[in-house]
Amino acid sequence: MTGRIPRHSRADPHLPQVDTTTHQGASVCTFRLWRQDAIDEDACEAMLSALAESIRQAGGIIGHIKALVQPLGAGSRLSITKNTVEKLPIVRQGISLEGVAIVLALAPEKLDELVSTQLWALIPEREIMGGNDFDYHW
Amino acid sequence: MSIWILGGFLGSGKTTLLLQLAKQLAWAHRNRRLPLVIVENEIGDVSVDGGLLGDYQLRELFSGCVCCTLASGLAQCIRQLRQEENPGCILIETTGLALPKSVVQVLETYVPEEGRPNVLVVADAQRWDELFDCMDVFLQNQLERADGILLNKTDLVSPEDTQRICGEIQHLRPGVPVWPVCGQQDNAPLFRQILEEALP
Repeated sequence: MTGRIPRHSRADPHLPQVDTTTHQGASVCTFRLWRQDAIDEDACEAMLSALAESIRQAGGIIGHIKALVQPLGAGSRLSITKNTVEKLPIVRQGISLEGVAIVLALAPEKLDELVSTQLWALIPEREIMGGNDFDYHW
Repeated sequence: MSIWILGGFLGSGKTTLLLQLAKQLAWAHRNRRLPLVIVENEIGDVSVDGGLLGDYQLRELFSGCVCCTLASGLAQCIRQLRQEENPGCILIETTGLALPKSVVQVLETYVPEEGRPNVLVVADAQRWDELFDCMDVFLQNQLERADGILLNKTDLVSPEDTQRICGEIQHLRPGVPVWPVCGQQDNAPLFRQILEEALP
């Protein structure tokens, strides 16, 4: 059996995106976060450890938590209106974090909450409380 | 065209062993000059392992399981690969929640012309006792239809435990070979032996 927790779309990729479903009795939570600030691989590693611990404390059995952390790196913006492609180099600092947590013996709502909590903990407090340079739409 | 299914529970080390198996399959098929294609199935919609498989042609099936919700997607994928790539071999890595016997059933039902696939199942020596305590029926079901079982992560348990777990698995699947392996080491000789016995 497969089910999905209905959610509103969060269009802003700089904020945690979490999507939790169930499959064959397991809760499956997919998560994503793109950040251009100081979050690095070590922070992501610590976040996954904290997530695993919180799942265990909630009585869940970790099937597998895996994530891909990648530097955003350099890219290009391509543009064409007539014959020539204009190329504008773009350097994006930061990382993208994408992953999935597959957990047994834990309700999908609870897993959703635990993953969201850990991802939000990566966001600097100043950003959540306001007073930063970003203008996020909630 | 031969089809290989690599199954096994979540986190048992399937992808690590798949890389080793893929290398040997590619070598075994080198004279046929036909490509090896890996079909990677993820329950979520994130390609976490895809980047590790960059040396091979890769098809990814997301957001479901090829043994149940994505069964038709798998059949379509195999037919499409046959038509477009004509691969010498397709290696399917299932999700950790898939039952390989159901994947076999899907293939036998929807693409019977490809013949019976070879099935290897990975078991996790480190978590065998813990998982067997709470999901013995599921783990037994995962071992069904396996032509061989790779008991992985034996470097993380004692030799006595490795022997005991091998015995328990052999008790569940009498007559099916169980090979203790460590995914962090090169298991090329074992995979060559498996292929020699399986390939015509």
